[in-house]
Formats: sequence, C-alpha cells, structure tokens
Amino acid sequence: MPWVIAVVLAVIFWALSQAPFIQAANEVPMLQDIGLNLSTALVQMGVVVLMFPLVNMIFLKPLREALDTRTKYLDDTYSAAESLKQRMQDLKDSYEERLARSEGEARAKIQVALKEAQQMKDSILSEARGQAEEISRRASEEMAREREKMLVDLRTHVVDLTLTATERLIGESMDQPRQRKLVEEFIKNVEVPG
Amino acid sequence: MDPGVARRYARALLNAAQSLNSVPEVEDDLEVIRGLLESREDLRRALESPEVARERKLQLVDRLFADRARPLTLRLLRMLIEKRRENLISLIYVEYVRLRQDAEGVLPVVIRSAVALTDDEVKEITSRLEKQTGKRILYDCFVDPSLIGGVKVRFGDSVLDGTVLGALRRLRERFFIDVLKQV
Repeated sequence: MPWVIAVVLAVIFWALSQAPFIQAANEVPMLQDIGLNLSTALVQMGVVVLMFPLVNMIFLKPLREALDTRTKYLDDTYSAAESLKQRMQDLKDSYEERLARSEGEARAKIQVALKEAQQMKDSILSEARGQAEEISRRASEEMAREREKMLVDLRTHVVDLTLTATERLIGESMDQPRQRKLVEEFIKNVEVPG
Repeated sequence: MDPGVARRYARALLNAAQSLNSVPEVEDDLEVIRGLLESREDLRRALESPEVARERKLQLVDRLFADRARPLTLRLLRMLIEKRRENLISLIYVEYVRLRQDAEGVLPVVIRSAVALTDDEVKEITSRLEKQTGKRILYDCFVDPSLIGGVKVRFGDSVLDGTVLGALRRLRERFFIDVLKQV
C-alpha cells in the first residue's frame, strides 16, 4: 500500500513537473535568480516520495522491529523481574512465616529437650548418688568384715601363742611327782560315759 | 571299702564258726591270711586286681590255703572272690575279732600315758573300767610323751582323756568358740 501511494504521488509530481504552467514558471526571472527549477524540484520531491517506502522497508521497519523486540524484551524482562520480585517477596514472606513458625517449634522443642535433659540429669545424678551410696555402704561393710576378721585372726593368734607357751611351760615343769599326781587324778575320776 | 559290708560278713562268719565250735581257729586263719596279704604285695595285688580272672584267683586261693585254712575260712575266701569283695579280707578280720571279743565280753582298750604307768596304776585303771563296763578288759599300753602329762584311754568309739595335751586342746577350742562368739 505505501508503495502504491508513493508511486501515485511520484507520478503526480512528475506529471506536475511536465505541466505547462510549471514550465512557464521556470521562466520567471526571480526563480531563475535564486536558481530554483520547479520541474526539477517536483521530480526530486517525487523521488523523495518514492524513497519513503524504500527507506521504510530497508531501515525504519527493521529498526522499529528491533525497537519493538527490544521494548518487548525489556517489558518481558521487567515483568519477569517483577514476577521474580513478587515470587521472592512471596518466598521471603513464606520463609519468614516458616522461620517464625520454626523458631516457635524450635523453641518448644528446645524447651522439651531441656526438660528431658534436666530429667535425665536428675535421674543420672540420683542413680549415681544411689550407686555411690551403695558402694560406700558395701565398702563400709567390707571394712567392718575385714576388721572383724582381723580381730578374730589376732585373737586366734594370741590364743595360739598363749597356749603354745603354756604347753611349753607346763611341759618343762612336769616332773615325776606331778606326772604321778595326774595319773592318780585320772584313776580317781575315770568314768565311762553312759 | 564298706565297713558295714565287712561287719555283715564277719558276723555271718562268726556265727558259722561258733556253730562249728572253731571260733579261734578261724580267727587264726584270718590273721595268717591278712599277714600274708600285708607282707606279700604281689599276692594282694593279684587277688584284688579286677584284671585277673575269678577262676585264676580261685585256683590261687585253693593252691595257697587249701591245706592250711579251715574249710569255713576257705569258703569265705571263695565267696569273697566270687562276689568281687576280695579287698574286704583285712577289714573282715578286724570286725571278726571285735565281734568275737564283744561276744566273749571282752573290751579291748588302748591306754596311752606321758610316762610309763606302774602295774598297780594299770591294774587300777582296768579294774575301774571292768567295774563300769561289766566286761573283761584287754589292754595295750603305750607311752606317748607328746601328751605332756596324764592318761588317755580309748575303747570302741569312746575316749577318756585325762592328759594335759587334751586339756589344752579343749581350752583352745573354748577360746576359739569365745572368740567367734565375740564377732
């Protein structure tokens, strides 16, 4: 369509340049003085008109398309950025919400864990205390037993020593009269058990 | 070795010997056999070994004692071999003597003293024991200086301990009991 209009206009300009009144006007001295030829000017205008669609086709259209593409790209990028920003905002909101919720849950869990730890600590301490008391009690009992055993050993040893010494002393002091006296006593007291 | 089993054999043997009126003869036989077994280790081993066949043992007994021992004693030996009680021979002799003494009212007594007893002292002790047990006392006297002083009489399962050593031992036991009571 632009080509048709341009051609029509160029034809019109060319036709006008060939028109007799334009030829007549060229003969006007004032126009000649300024160097203006109306026929040439009209042909040039027709060429210029013809040049518009060409310029449009070769330069303006690709440029416009490039600008449109660029604009679209910028729009897309902007909208993507906006969308991303929105998404980020949503994510941030969600994250903050989750964070807040997690913090609450974490605090609750920490509280529970702390409580359990405290109970465990109390239990372990109580058990350890019980074991320590048991060990102490056993040690005391063992010591008491050992002490008693030592006392028994000591007394037994003393008895042994005393009686061994007594046996030796009696043996050394045993003379014939005493031997005879012991025999006599045996004879006097001898009694068969019923 | 089971003393109860030996006692049963000894009682049966004594009864049989009494009925045959040969109690001392059988005792003599047993004493000889026991002496032989004690002095001849190979003989004792051959008789008591489970590896030697019964027939061989019976032949051995027949060959050794057939013309020396009374038939009753020989029968006892054969019975012991057949019932695999050969190791009871010595114990049967001891039980036989004890039962015979018991039947005759004899009480064997062992008298131990730190110093040698005079005849009067021994007589005094035995007469007192005879009076109290109602049995005739058959005694053996031994001197044992380790008793320190006094006399100790053993008969059957009883002991009459009048020695210093015995008194000290009893004292020691009492001390130990007291020590244990204090714990």
